[in-house]
Parts: sequence; C-alpha cells; structure tokens
Amino acid sequence: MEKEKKRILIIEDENALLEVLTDKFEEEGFSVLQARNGKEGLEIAINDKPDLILLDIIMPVMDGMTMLRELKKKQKGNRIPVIILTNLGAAEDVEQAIKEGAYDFLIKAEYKISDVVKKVEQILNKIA
Amino acid sequence: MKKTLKSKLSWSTILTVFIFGLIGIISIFFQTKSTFISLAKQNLSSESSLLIQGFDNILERGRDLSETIANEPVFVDYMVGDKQIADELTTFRLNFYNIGEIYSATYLVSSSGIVLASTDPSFVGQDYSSRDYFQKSIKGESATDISVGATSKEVEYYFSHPIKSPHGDIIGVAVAKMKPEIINKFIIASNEDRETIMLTDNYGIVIYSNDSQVVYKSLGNLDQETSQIITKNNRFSNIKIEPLDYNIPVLKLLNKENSGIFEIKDKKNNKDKIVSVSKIGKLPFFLLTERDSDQFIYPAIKISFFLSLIIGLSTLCTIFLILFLVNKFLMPLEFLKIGAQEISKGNFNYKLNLSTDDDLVGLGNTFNDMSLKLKNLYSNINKERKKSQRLVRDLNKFKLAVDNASDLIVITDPNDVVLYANPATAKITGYSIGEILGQKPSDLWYRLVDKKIINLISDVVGKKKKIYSGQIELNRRDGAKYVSSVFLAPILYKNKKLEFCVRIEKDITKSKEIDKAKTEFVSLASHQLRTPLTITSWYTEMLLDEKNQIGFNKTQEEYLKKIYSSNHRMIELVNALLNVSRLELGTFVIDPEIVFPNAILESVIDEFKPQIKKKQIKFKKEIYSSLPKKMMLDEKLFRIIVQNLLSNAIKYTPEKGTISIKVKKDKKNLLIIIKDSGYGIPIVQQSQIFTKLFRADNVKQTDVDGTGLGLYIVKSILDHTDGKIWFESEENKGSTFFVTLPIKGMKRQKGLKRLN
Repeated sequence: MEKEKKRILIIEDENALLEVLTDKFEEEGFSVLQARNGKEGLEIAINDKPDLILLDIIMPVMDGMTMLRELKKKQKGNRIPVIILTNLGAAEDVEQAIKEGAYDFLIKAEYKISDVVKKVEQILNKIA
Repeated sequence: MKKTLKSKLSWSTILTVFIFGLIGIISIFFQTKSTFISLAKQNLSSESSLLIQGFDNILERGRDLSETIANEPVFVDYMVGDKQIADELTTFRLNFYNIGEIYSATYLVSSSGIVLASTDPSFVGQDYSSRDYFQKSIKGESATDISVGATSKEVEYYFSHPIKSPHGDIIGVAVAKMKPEIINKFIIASNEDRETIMLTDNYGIVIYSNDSQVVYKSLGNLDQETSQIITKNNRFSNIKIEPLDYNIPVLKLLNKENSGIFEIKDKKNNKDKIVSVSKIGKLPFFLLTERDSDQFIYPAIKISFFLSLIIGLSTLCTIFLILFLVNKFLMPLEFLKIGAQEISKGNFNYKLNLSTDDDLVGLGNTFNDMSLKLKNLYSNINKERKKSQRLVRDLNKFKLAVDNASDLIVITDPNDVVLYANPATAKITGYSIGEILGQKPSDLWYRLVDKKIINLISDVVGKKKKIYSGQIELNRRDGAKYVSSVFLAPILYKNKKLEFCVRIEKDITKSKEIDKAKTEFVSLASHQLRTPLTITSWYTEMLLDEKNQIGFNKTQEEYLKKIYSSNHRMIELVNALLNVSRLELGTFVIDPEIVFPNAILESVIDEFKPQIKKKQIKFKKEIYSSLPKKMMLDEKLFRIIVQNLLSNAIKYTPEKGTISIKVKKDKKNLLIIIKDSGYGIPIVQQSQIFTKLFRADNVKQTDVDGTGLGLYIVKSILDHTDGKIWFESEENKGSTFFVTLPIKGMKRQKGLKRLN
C-alpha cells in the first residue's frame, strides 16, 4: 500500500510550464492540483487544502502577490507553505513576497526542474 | 659744474682746511707780534735805563764839579772880595778843575750875574743874570741847564752851584760848562741802527739826537707860556722850535713818574713806533728811545709767512690726499652708479668688478648678488605674468564653458544668496537670470522642497563643509515638477571659512523616465524570454533524466545534450544582459553582510573543479593566512567577480595549461591575483577589454563561447564598491588579472534589482 500522496497546488498561467511541472511532480509521486490564475488558486487552496503551493507572480485575473495576501487573510491555524516560482528577479519582488508570507522564492530559469522538486520535498519534510 | 658727491666732498674738505689754516695764521701773527712787541718794550726799557745810568753818571760829575768849585775856600774868598787873590790865580785855579778836557769853561759869577773869573777869558764881564741856572743857584739851589750856543748852534750843558760866604750868604755862583761832545758821543756810542735816541729838556724839546732832523724840535706843540719862557731865556738862540708829531705828554710824565713806554703812530711817515721815555736821574732831561714797530712786526710776518707756507703746503697735500681717497672710495660708487643705471635699463647681466682690496669688495659682491637676484626675480615676474595671462585665457575658456553648459551652475554666498547663475539656470528653472541673482534658491525653484531636506543640505555643506549630492524633486517657475540631480560643493577660504557654494544641477526627469522604461523592459524581457527558455530547459532535462526508460540511441542523446547546453547558454546570456542593464541604470543592490571571503573563494573554486579537471589544467591556490576572516561583502557580487575571472581564465587557457589564484592583503585592500598561461590579449586590444560585448580577436577564432559581458560586469561592480581591476597580458603567454577590494568592505547601496 502506497503511502498517501502529498498534494501540491501549482498556480501558473503558462500552459507549457504548468504541464511540465505537473508531469514532473506526478512522476515523482505527488498529487497535483492545477490553477491558471490567482483567483482559481485561492478557491482550490481554501477548499482542498493542499500540502504546498507553487505560485507564479505575473498572471491574469489575479496575480500571485494579491493571491498570497488574500490567502493569508482567509487562512486560520496551520498555514499552507507557498513557494514563489517566477522569472522575476527584482529585489523588491523577493522582499515583498517574503513579507507577505512566502516560504521561499525561486527563479525558474536558474533552477533545474529536479532541483525544484528537491526543494519542495525538503520543505515538506521539514514541516512534517 | 654738476655738483657730484666727489666735488662736494673735496671742496668742503679743502675749504675747511683753508679756513682753519687762515684763522691759525692770523691768530699766530697777532700773537707773535704782541709777544715781540712786549719783548721789545722790555728790551727798550732795560736799554734806556742803562743809557740813563750812563748819562746820569756823566751829568752828575758836572754837578759835583760845580759844587766842588763853589766850596773851594779860595774861590769863596775870592768871591767875598779878598783882593789879595789875584784874578789870574783864580783863573789858573779854575783851569785846574777842567780835567780831561770835559768842560769847555768853568767860571764864577757874582751875585749880580756878572762873570768874575773864567777859564774862557771872553766870558769875564758878561752878564748871565737872566740865565735859568744862575737864577736857580742864586736862590741857593744846585742847577743844571742847557742852552744853544749863539754861534756854535750846539747845545751846551751848564752845571751851577751857589757860593756861600763863611756867614752863609750867597755871594755868587760857580758854573761848569760841559762840552756837548761828551754826552753826544755817549749817545752815538750807544746808538744802534734801528733806534732813534733823543735827549729832550723838560719842555719836550729835543736837545740832541742821533737823528739830526729832530734836533731842536719840540715833541708836541708848545703852549704859549712855555714858548715865552724859552724865548726869554734865549735858550735856543733864536732857533725856531718846530713841533714833531709826538703826542707824548712828557711834561705830565715829568711830574709823576720817571719812565714810560708808549706805542705811537707816526702820522707823517705812517709808521707804528715804540717809544721809551725816561727821566735822567734828578736832572731836567729826558731820554727817548724809539723803535719802529715794523721791526717787530717783521719777524711776526716772517713766522706767519713760513707758517702760511707750511699750512698752504699741507692744504695742498690734504687736497691731493683727499682727491686720492675720494677717488679711491668714490670710484666704486661711480661703478655702482653705472651698474645701477645698467640694471634700471634692464641689463641684469651687468657684472660689477671693483678692484679694491677693502670692504668695498663686499659691496661689489653684494651688488652682483643683488643683480643676480633681480634677474631671477625679473624672470620669475615674467613667468608669473605669462602664467597669469594664460590663466586669464583659461578663465575665459572656463567661463565660456560654464556659460554654455547644459547643466545648471549657480554660485552662492554663505547665506545661500545667488551671486552667479549660468544661462542654463534660466532654461531649467524658468526664472530669468535677473530674478535669480540676489535671491535664494529656497525661495525660487526649491520653494516647495521639504524643509527637512533644505536643512539637511545646509547642514552638510554649511556646517560639515562637505559635498552634498542627491536627487531632489523641484518645481519650475510655472509649478511643473521635475527631478534634479543636485551637487553642492562648499568653496572654503584657507580650508576653513565657507566662502562660496557651487551648485550644479542636472534635470534628470527625462532620463528618469527612460530609466523607468528600461526597467519595465528588463522586467518584461526577464519574464517573457526566460519563460520559454525555462520550459525548454526543463523538458530537455526530463528527457535526459528518463533516457534509459525511453531508450534513446547515442546520437539522439547527443542532440538532446546539445539542446540542453545551448539553452543553458541562452539563459546565461539573458541573465548577463539583465545584469548589464541593471548595472547601467545604477540601480542594482549592494547588500553587504559579514561573510567569510575564504569560504566563498573555496566554494567558487569548487564550482569550477569539473571544468578544470576536464581540461587537465594545473591549478594552484595560494591564500595567505593573514587574510581577514570576516569581511563586509555582498556575497553575490563577490561571487560574480571571482566567477567571471576564474571562468575566463579557464575558458581562455588551452588544455594542460596552468592557472593560479593568489589572495593577499595590504594595509587597506584585499588583493586577488588570477594568473593563467592562456591565449593572452593582443596588445592593440588591451585598452578595450573592459568595454561591453568586447571579445578579443584571437579567442573569437578558437571556438570558446562567451558573452563579452563578464569583464564589463566585473569592472562595473568594482567601480561601485571602491574596488579596482587591472591586468598584465602577453599574447600566447597568458594574462594576470589583479583585483582589489577595500578591507573595510563594500558600502550599502539601495537599488531596484539584484544581480543574478
């Protein structure tokens, strides 16, 4: 009997990226929830309570920073760890994200996909 | 004649000597003269007293004789009238007394004045009752008298004595008449050439003299009474008595003293004379001895003459001596004058050669020294003048530059009042130059700036006397906002007191807008370019991860690897371009923390170990133990520096080459030296290697990949962190790069972007 799969919510407007991440994480034995903007992501996060959220910043409808702020408002008790996964590298973005309660801040282009998975596993292990 | 110093000096000295000489001569002349005269007076009086003694002796004998005759009893008896004594015997007896032929006659006169007996028979019977001597003797006195013979016209001397009877009555007079030659001979015998000797009677009439012209003349004018007496006595036998011009009061003298010496003026002959007047014994005669003063003045003149001669000669000698000395001492002065004239004409090369052997040599040397100094001074002044001319030209250029500068340039006084504003000020702020001058910027284009900022600026510049620089939002005259980069520098007087403030402002509103646009572009590029690259990268990675399950053949696997590495290069390139744009905006963050530089170095080296191994490069590492363990560094920036340099070294060093890294420190800096034995940089391109997108020709040909941005980024970082970079390189031998970073670490810089 397999142990219970960890559930990850990936919020990403770029289809190709969403797919590659989904493929990779499922391959690695995660259960993946998908959202294409902040608003969708916020609903799923509140309703399904995933173990971890990978969040892009620039998205239509609702961007990552707003979603992070909203999530913080609505969450009570244990918080779902959020990793910002973006291609923005501005110092102010990083600072703001950490201020809003993001757990980590990764720049996509500078990480191998396997390293992203490793990071996620590390954080989940830490929490558990 | 021009009154030169020389002639003045000469003439004044000569005149002084002459005047003193003259005064000396005159005073000596009079001194000598008076000395001689007083000597002469003494001489004269002693001489005349000798003469007088002689006279007195002779005349006394005459008196004695008359007395002896008068007392002879025979003659007394005869006179009484004893007729037993014959006249012949008496006469014989009288002759007896006439010894030595001194007397011309001796005779006896009766009381009635009739001659009774005489050695000269012609006298007998003559009446001499009117004669002076008779009249005196008949009264009982012994008398002496003279009279001039009527025929002989010669003076005769009479000595008489009363003859008394045994009862004491005067019965007659005995007379002895002396021959004048006796006395005259005596005068002539005592005569000296230079003297006039005069014998006078008690009336002042000359009886005899060695000067025949004065005989029978009176010394002064005779008064009437005296003239009558003389005529009555017939003393001078009708000879007219003429006066001589002697103003000697002989008669007055007679009554008082026996002698006197007078200096008189002979008006007739215009001669000064010394006259000695002496009474002869108790007799009514005076002896005058007279000398010309000339005789005494002459030696005085002679002495004075010789003296004058001596003084004249010494004056002459003095003149020559003075002229000589004046020449000797003034000649150098003359040379000095010529020298000074030459120098005043501007001939500073004039050399003074004083061929003297005294202190003036020093003067000459001083003069030459002075002229040398003047020459130097003059040339210095000339240089200074040229310098200041150049300065004025430069200043004009400078003013032109300031006037035409596009930046606002304003000079204010310590109270912030505007003293100067260039035309750009009017253009930027909208105020006219007239409105700006004399006003404060804080009332014009700074009018809406926060007071805190104004105070901060005045604190930095006015109190701390440091340069302020910053960006401030200002307002134009019409109220429009604009951003200005403000640079404010204090100009201090003697490094202390604030004298002026120079304010340079650049309107950066436009460039700010451009910056913003650039930043937006960078964000966009960053996002839009990196997203597809990420997708490609991640899929390729996954494919390669799963190659065994999928079952690629070798060629397919090779292709996938090439896609992956090219894609990776693309990502690096994009990252580098992003970094460059951030560097150029100056908006990158410098965020220093306490780090361990040694550990960072080690970790960077570790990153490159696989590549080093692959190229079989001999790698040497020398890190000195004296390095500071902790430093305030932005780790990311420090990494970028070392990574780029090390990556270049590896890239541009062929297989089996050598690379060494050495880290040292000196007083202020951390020094990193990275040396390789690579391709090196061609000399002609060495000056370009820190420029953007530069790649050396020699490495472009050898297939090494590179962005041409690495060294540009390193240099930019170091420029912002007080670091330095330089290198030494030789083509085909290798390059050595030197990097310094201050030991005190990097300064914090706020910015928008981090470098990746």
